[in-house]
Formats: sequence, C-alpha cells, structure tokens
Amino acid sequence: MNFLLQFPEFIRSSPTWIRDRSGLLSGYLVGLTALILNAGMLGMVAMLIDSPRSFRQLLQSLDFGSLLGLLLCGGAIAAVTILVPLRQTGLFLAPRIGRYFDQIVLSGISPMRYMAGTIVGQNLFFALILFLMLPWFALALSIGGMHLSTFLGNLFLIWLYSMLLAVSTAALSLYLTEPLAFAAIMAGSLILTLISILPISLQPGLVTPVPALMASVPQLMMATVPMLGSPLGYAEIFVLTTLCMSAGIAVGLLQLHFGPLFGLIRDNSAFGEVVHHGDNRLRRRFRFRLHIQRPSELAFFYQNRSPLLTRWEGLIRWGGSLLLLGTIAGFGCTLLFAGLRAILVSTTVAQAANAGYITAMVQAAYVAGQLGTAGTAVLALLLFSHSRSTFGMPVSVVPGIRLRVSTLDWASFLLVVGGTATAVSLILLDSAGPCQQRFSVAVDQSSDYIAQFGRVSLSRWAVEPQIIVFTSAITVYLLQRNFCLYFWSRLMASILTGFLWFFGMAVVPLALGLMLHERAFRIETLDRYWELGLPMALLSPIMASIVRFAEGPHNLAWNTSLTGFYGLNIAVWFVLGTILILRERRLKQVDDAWRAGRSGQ
Amino acid sequence: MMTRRILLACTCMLMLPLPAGHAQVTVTAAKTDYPGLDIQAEFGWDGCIDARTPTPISFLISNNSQDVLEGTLVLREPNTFRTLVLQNLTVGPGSIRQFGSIIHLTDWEQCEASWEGPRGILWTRPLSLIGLRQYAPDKAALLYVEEGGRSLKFPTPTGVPVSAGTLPGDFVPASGIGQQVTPISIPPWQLPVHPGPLTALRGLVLADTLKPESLNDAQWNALARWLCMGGLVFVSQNSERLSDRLLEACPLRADGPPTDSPRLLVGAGCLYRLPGPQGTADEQQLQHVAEIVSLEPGRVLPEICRSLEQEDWSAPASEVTLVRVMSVLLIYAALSSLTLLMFRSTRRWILIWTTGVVALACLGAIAAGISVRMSRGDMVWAVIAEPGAGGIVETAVLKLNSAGGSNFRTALTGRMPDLQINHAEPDRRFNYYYNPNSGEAMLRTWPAFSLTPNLTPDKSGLCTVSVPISPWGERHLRAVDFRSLQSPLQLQLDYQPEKDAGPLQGQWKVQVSGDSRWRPETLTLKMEIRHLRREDNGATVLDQLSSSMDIRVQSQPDAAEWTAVLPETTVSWMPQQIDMWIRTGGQAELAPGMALLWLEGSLAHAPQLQVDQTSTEFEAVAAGKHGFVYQVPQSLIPATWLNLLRAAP
Repeated sequence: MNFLLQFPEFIRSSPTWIRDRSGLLSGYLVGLTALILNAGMLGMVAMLIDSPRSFRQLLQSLDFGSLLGLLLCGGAIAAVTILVPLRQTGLFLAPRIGRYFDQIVLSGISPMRYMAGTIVGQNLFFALILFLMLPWFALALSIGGMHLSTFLGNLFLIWLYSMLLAVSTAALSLYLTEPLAFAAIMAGSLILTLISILPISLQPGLVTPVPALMASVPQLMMATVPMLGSPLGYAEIFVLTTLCMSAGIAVGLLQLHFGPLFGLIRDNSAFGEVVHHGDNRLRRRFRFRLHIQRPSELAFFYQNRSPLLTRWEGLIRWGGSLLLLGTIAGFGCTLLFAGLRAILVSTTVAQAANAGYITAMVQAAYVAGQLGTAGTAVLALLLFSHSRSTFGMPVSVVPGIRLRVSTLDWASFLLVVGGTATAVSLILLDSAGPCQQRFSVAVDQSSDYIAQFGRVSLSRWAVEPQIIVFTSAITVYLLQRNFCLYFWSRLMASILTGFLWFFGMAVVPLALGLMLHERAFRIETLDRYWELGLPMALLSPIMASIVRFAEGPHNLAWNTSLTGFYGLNIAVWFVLGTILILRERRLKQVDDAWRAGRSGQ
Repeated sequence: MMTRRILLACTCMLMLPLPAGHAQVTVTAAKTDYPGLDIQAEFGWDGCIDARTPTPISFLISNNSQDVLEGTLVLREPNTFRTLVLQNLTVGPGSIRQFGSIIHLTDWEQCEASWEGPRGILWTRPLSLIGLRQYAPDKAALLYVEEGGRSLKFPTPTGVPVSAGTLPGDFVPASGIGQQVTPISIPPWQLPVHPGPLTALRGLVLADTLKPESLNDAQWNALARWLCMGGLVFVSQNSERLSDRLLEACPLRADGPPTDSPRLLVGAGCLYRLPGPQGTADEQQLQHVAEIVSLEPGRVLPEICRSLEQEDWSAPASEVTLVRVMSVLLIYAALSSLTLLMFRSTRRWILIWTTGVVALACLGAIAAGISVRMSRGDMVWAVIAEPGAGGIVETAVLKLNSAGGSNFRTALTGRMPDLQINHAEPDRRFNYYYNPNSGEAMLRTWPAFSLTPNLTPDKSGLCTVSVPISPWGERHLRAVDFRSLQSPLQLQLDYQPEKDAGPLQGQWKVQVSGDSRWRPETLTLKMEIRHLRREDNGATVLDQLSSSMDIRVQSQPDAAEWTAVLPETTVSWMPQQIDMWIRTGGQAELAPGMALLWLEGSLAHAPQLQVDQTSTEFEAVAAGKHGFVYQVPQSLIPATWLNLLRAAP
C-alpha cells in the first residue's frame, strides 16, 4: 500500500519524467507524430481505394467501420513501434555524450527511478497519439459499423504494447548501445508481427497486439483455417495477449531493477575512460576501450540500486534464464513428441513398405532431436558464460547462500544441457520400439541403400547422438569459459570459440581424415598411412553423428566405436579445465589483492 | 452496518429467481425435447448442400402434446456464438406445421438449430452444413417429391462407360448423348417457398403419392414460378389434381394446346404429363423422364445475368463522398504537420494550435460522416425479358453501390415482383482468368441468397426490401416478374447442311415474329456447341464452339406485330474452330448441354418490371439497358442440325 502511495512521487521526482513532460509539447514532437500518423493512415487508405474493384470486393465481407478501426489500430501500432523505442534511445546516450552521466551516478539516484520516469512518460506520448487520432475516431463513429468494445480492447493492448516496447528498449540498452537496441527491437517487432499473421492460435506473436487485431475482425479470422488447434475467439486472444505482454513487462522491469551483471575489478575500477597498465606508452587511439567503458559506467550506476530482492538475485537471474531455456526446450520436445506420434499414426506397419519415406521420416526425427539439443546447448553457452570482470563475482542466490557467478554458470549449463539431452533421449526411446518395427518392414522390401537401416538399433540412436552432443557441448563450454577470462565481451569470446571449435575440432579432422583415406594428398609418406584416415575423421563430432545415423562411408559400420572422439574430448577437457582453474585462481588472487588494497587491509 | 445488512438481504432476494429460472431453462436445455414434440429439420436436400446456390432450410413441427407451443426458431454457431433468428411459430396441440426458408450461412462451420420459447428451449439439434454431394455443372439434377419415403434411384447401367463422377443411383444415358442425371428425393415439406433453390434443378417429378394439400400456397407458388422460369415438371396423367393445382398457381397461362395435353409449354418451362396407369410408380416412365432431362440443355439466362453482374461500372456518388472524406483528412494532416514549423513557439501556443486543429478536424469529420451516411448511393439495373408460352418472364439484375450509408431501401414495381439480395458479388477475378475453353463451367443457377421479406406485402405490385450494405460497398440484387402476353414470340428455324463442305458449314434460315408491345431493337441468333476432348495425358477438356448471326427487324414501328427475317445465311465459324472440329472427327463425346441455340437482343420498350424511384434510396447512374433472350426449345431446333451433332461417333 505504501508503495502505491509513494509511486507517484517516485515518478515525479525522476529527472527523465520531468524532461519528457517538458518536451512533450514541442512543435517538433507534435508535428512529427502527426505527420507520421496521418501519413501512415492516409497511405493505407489510399492503397485501398486505389483499386475501386478490390475496395468494393473487400467491403463485401468487411464492414467499412471495422476496416477503418483496423486501419486506426494498425496505424497506432506502427507509430508506437517506431516512435516509442526511438524516444528511449536518449536514455544513456544523451548523458554520456553530454558528459554528465557521472553527475547522475554521483547523485545517488537509483537506476529504476531514473528509467521509470521515461517509461511512464510514454503514457503521455501515447495520450498525444490518441489525441491526434481523434478526428479519425470521430469519422469512424459517425460513419458507423465499428465495434466499439473490441476497438477499445485493441487500444488497451496497444497501450500495453507501448509499455512493453519502452521497457524492452530500456532493458536492452543496458547491454547494447541505444542505436543497436533500437534496431534489435525494430527487427524483433517486425518478425513477431509477421509471425502473428500466421493462422496459429498459440504463438510467439502474442506479445504484439496483431493477433488480437486480426481476431477483432471475424471475417479476417475466418478467411484462414488455423494450422494448429482450433481457432480462438477475440476474448481468449485478448486475455492471452495481455498475459504475455504483462509477463514481458514484468521480466523487463526485473531486468531494469537488477541491471547488467558486470563486475568492477581493478582494470575498470575508474569511472570514465578505462586505463590499463602500460597505456602511457600507447597512442591515444589505441587507448579507447568503449566496449569496456560503457558497461563499466553502467555497473557504477547500478551500485545505486535499491536492495529490494537483491538477496534473491541469483535465483531470479539464473532461474529466469533456466525458465526461458526450459520453455524453449520444452516446446521443442513437445514438437518432437508430436512429430514422432504423427509419423507413427500416419504409417502402419503395412504402410512401412514405403521404405524411402519411413526411413527418411524416422531418421529426420532422430536427427532433429540431436539438433534441438545442440541448439539448446548453444543458447545455454551464451547465457551461462560471463566475461572476466564478472566470473568471480559473488551473488546471493537465496538469503544466506552466496555463490560465485562461475559456479552458478557451470551448474546451470550442465543442468540445461544434461536435462535437455535426457528428455530428448527419453522421448526418442519411447518411440524406438514402434519405429524399429517399421524399419524392419521397410528394409525387407527395399534396396541396398535402405537395407543398411536393418542393422541399426533405434535405442542406441536415441541415446548415443545425445551423448555426442553433450560431450561436444562440454568441450565448447570449456573453450568459451577460457576465452571469457581473456575478453571483456562474451560475444567476442563466443565468436572465437565457435570459430576455433568448428574449424579446429569439427571440420579439420573430418576433411583431413577423408582426404587421407582417399589418398588425396598424393604424397607417398602420407598415403602410406591412409588407414588412419577414417579414424581421424571420426574424431570430428560431425562424422561421429553421420556414422551413427548410418550415413557414413560404406566401410564404416553404423556402430563403429567412437573411442577416439571421446578420448580426444576428454583430453581437451583435462587441458582446458586445468588452464581454466589456474587462470581463474590467478585472476582471483589479483582481484583479492586489489580489494584488500582498497579497503586498507 | 445496518445499511450493509439491508443491502445484502436485498441482493439475496433479487438473486432468488435466477437459480429457479436457470433450473427451469436447464431442464429443457439439457438436450431433451419437450414431451410430445417432434421436429424434423433439413438443410439442403437429401444430403445435397451447395453454398454456391440458394439453399433451403425446412422444418416439420409435430406437436403431439396437449399444450400450445410457441417459440422462435433460432440457428446458432457454437464456436463464434453467431445467431440467426428465423421465425416465431405457434403450433397448437395435436397439429403439424411446416416452415421453410432460404438461408446462406457465411463461413459457418457448425450449426445448432433450436426452438426457444417462454418455456425454455423446446428442442435443439445440430444441423449438418456439409453435404455429401454438390451440384456439378456437367450433370443435371432431378428432384423427386414424394410422400412415403421412397428414394428415387436409377439402375446402374451396363455396357456404358461410366465416369469417375458418377454416383450410385445416377442416370447415365445409354446412347452416351446427354448429361448424367442425379436424382434427389425429398418429402413435400422440404419443397422451398421460393423458386431460387429450384433453379439448380433441371427437372422435378411430383409423385402420385403426393396430395395437393401436402404443399402450402407458398410452395405451390414457388413451384409454379419456377415452371414459368424454365423448369420441367413431370406429373402423372392420373394426378389431375396436382397438375390443376400447379397450373392454378402459375402466373402465366399458356394458350394453344388444351391443358390436358401430354406436353404443355408454360412460360419458358414445360409441364409433362406421364401416360400409363402406373404413373410415377412406373420405372420405365421414370427412365423416360431422366432421358428427357438429360437431353435438356442448360439455361442461358443465368449466364447472361452473371455477365451483367460482372461488368464494371462507375459509381459517381460514392466517388464524390469518398473525395469529401479524404479532403477533410488531408486538410487535417496538412494543418497538424504545420506544427513542425512552430519550434520557436511557446508551449501555450502549440497547445492552442494543436487543440484547435484537432477540434476543427473532429467537427469536419463528423459533418463529413453524417453527410456521407445520408447520401444516396448509385444504382445500375437491367431487365432481361424471356418470352414464353403465355407471357414473358422478366428477370432484373440490380447493382447497388453505397455512397457511405449502410442500410437502404430498394423497391420494384411490376405485376408480382420478387426481389432478393445476392449473398456476395461474383468474383471478378474468375472472369479475368476464365477461359471458355478451359473446361471449367459455372453452375447455371441463381446465386446464393438469404430470403429477404417484402417490406410492403400489402401493396400489390410493389416489392420493397431493405439492403444492408457497407459504406462504399456493393450489393447485387436479382428480381423476377411475370407479364401475361398471348403469343409473344413465334419462331421458325431451318438448317440445310452444305454438301461437299465441312460438317459445320450449312445455311440457316430464320423467321421471328412477335407482339409489338415488346419489340426488340436488335436481334441475334446465337449458337453454342460444347464438345468434350480427351488430351494425351488423359485430361478431359471442354471446348466451346460459338457463333452468331444478326437478324434484321423489318417491320414498322407502329405495326401490331414485328417480324425479323434472316434469309439463307451460312453460319461462319472461326477457322481454328473448324480445324478443331475436323481434327477430333466431328464429335467424339458431346459435352453436357451439347447444343444451345438462342435469340438475344435489346428491347425498344421499357419492361413491366421497373425500379420505383420514389421508394428507392439509390440514384440510377444510367438508363437501364434492357434485353431479351429466348432459348430455343429442343423441339424447334431443326432435326438436320441435331442429327449432325448427335451422330454416333
């Protein structure tokens, strides 16, 4: 209750609120908004009436009032999607360029209070948009045919969408520069809008108002049959959209409250320009470290955050990421399960005589399972790795328990990858028996190529590719964690990791091994050892997977031992793990010494 | 505290009737019919439902209880909660009542019919909206109306090639000439109350078991109107009461042969009396009926009406209102964008300017919207007259375009006009891609519609309907009227094929005469031969050969009769059509409706069917172009021409 009473003052005292409120009634803002809005609306109307025949045909099935309501909401969505994130780009960019960001930090204002002002200020902007659209409303109402209740419902969703855009842009600005954040939000909105047009009831596009907009005009919904499930009515889609957007806003607000996980260590302990040992010998242009400076300044800013929920920070951050990945993995597992069921239902044992089809479909499903696990592992790698400034930072997981970031990352990564691999294996194992039956029938009726599938064990297909992915994932993760200790940006570390692993451990052994086996070098010394070609190729996870799925060279049985592959990876683990431990220990010693020096101990 | 208790008590008291009422409704809403009530409901006929044609819905309500049952027939779609209220009905104890209508359920996936009254839901059933079959353009439909539950089926032919589209029970002509005939059997209560659904049929048989009392007046009128519009009705000679009742309902009375002759032309249609003691119970008679129906070519009038509907036309009133609205919005856009130049102004002036512009724009928009709603829309209409025995059948095609309003009245005057609103404007994209030789043919029937009541039933000769129309939208209407006129047209045709020439080269000689009260301005004899061709890949393609000859109207304008004569004239065909005909050996398989011959022209005088300008809230854009069409009956087509076309392959 106290929070609700204090909230207005919380907002009113925010400098960004004061700035937005003062700047609302400027000729530039009002004129530009009116221009974009009216130009968009008139453009859409002009496109419609340009072809009288098509216009009349459209009005056969759609009331003009509904059409105008659709255009109005569409215009509002377009205006909000472009202008709201654009207005957020000045959040940190303006004070940093104006060189008064340090004063904001030193004022002690909490980041939440600072950003809440501009987020709530979007309501004023939305009110301006609604005000400028009044003549269009008046026209639609006077002509008639508009469904007022659904129109007001759509306006509510558009307002909620503007809040989501504001919160998302602000949250993304903590990690990327504002222009990049703006571009990412634009791209994401466009993709989600396009997905929303697909006739699928439950879909990611529900975070935009577009599905509700289309559902508000029943004639549009009836034009297409839903691809999955039964069609939802406007009320259901309205509730789902509200829930999805509210969840997005809540996640964004949590992110704004906690801020980016970026540590302050010796190297970036000074606000402003990042200075390293030996910089006095470098030219000026080589001393710019903008990729460290910006996150460091934000980390300083977030020293001012309130202690609310900080005792649960670890649980919320890592738990949230786990929840996100779990949802994606769960969705993928559901699709895999449904796909396998569909294959089994659509093909009886008798029909399995269509050998080419059945083997291709079953193999595709098992390969999809492996690729899905690999995809989840890549996402987990990006989410659960942190740069050198952060790896050793202690974080409160629950009250009374503090763990280092590196420990939490390891635990989460293993949980996600292991859990996904296990779940996928179980799903594939469940279908192994019926699929094996169909394979047997298919093999009996077909040619040599298919006949090789008669020897495979689908139970092993369910488990071994997942183990291959898990093994490779650990290797990549160790590589990533090592590089993160040398880089300030985990994106850079990820790029290097991906490059080295892909070419070093996946492509090169495969290419060299096959060339050696085929005696392609035409060097006698090498050609003498051609028998080592295939074992060398099997060191690559790509070759290992291909062989396991019975698609390898004919002289490589599907159940060829992968000892070389596992052995190489274990050896790499050992080496990288040792380097990682030693490096982390060294960095920790340096940081501890620096902190002790600061505190006078 | 006391006030709260009183309020709570009042709320509880008010809520008391709700559970009781709900319980009462719940009892009867729990999918159980009212005791003693039996309702049969059917959408379409005998599993035949085609959304492209007018579809009848029929109910037979039998009240075997001791109560007077009153309620409203309602259709609901469970998924989207759409509701269509059909009719209020009251059925006395121990009585039976039938109700029929024509409806088009746009994009309904499911339908639940219920009869709801003060006693709650008396009856509810799901209705199937997806039929087992649809009408096919290359088949003729024959309706068999019988009281007794017999279903008409023809025996499976032997030794005759049967196509993939042949259904069990279909009639397949033994000679291979003519269309297949699909029989549809219905009880009398399913006969529609409007001729629209009957236009999808080629013939209709009234079984001997049918009594005239089994059909109500609306059904007899609908059947009679359809007969005059070109339908074929078959009645047994033994069932004089049926034929008398039908002729009594006919708006046109044939002159000439006595009414008990075996074949009586009425309007553009024909009433056949089947001889023999067994009447319609005789299987051979029914086979003969099917043969007649299979050789009857399709109607030309629906295609002409469709072409009229697909013609482009300009609607000036709607363009004016659209410009008016766009002007207001453009001015607003310009004025509001001028705020960009006010970068030096104070906030107060920006607020004043913006508020002023928005307020003025709102007023302008409201004024534009109101004026648009009150604007009269545009209309273009044409009447096609079809002379026949006993008079003329006039069919009107109206195209309306709204200038911004959404509900307008349209009225027609005539003798007994009937006006219906088409469900949807025909898809002109089909016309763009339509290739007459592509093998794809349209159904020759009225377009789908939902029965619209006449708003002025007490005024004879006037039919007024309310047309719901979207602002700047378009609706099409179809109307029909009957004009009594003795011997409106006489036709003599002669064809002599040329020796030593191609099979299609011959000379036509035509003489047409008619009553001067509807003299044509121009007259053309048109012919069309439809011919099925098999391609190398096994596909069947419908080829169409068509030609026309203009006939000059020769009589004086003030003469009592007009005459048009075409002396011996060689019909001309396009060279590629001759080549195609020769290449395929004359004819391999003649397509359904193989040879059509008809007269077409424009009329000099205004028809009987007219738009009532005082009651119609649309402005006619241009004077209506009225025409006429006369489809030559098979009996008048020269045998030399038919023999040429029907020669065995």
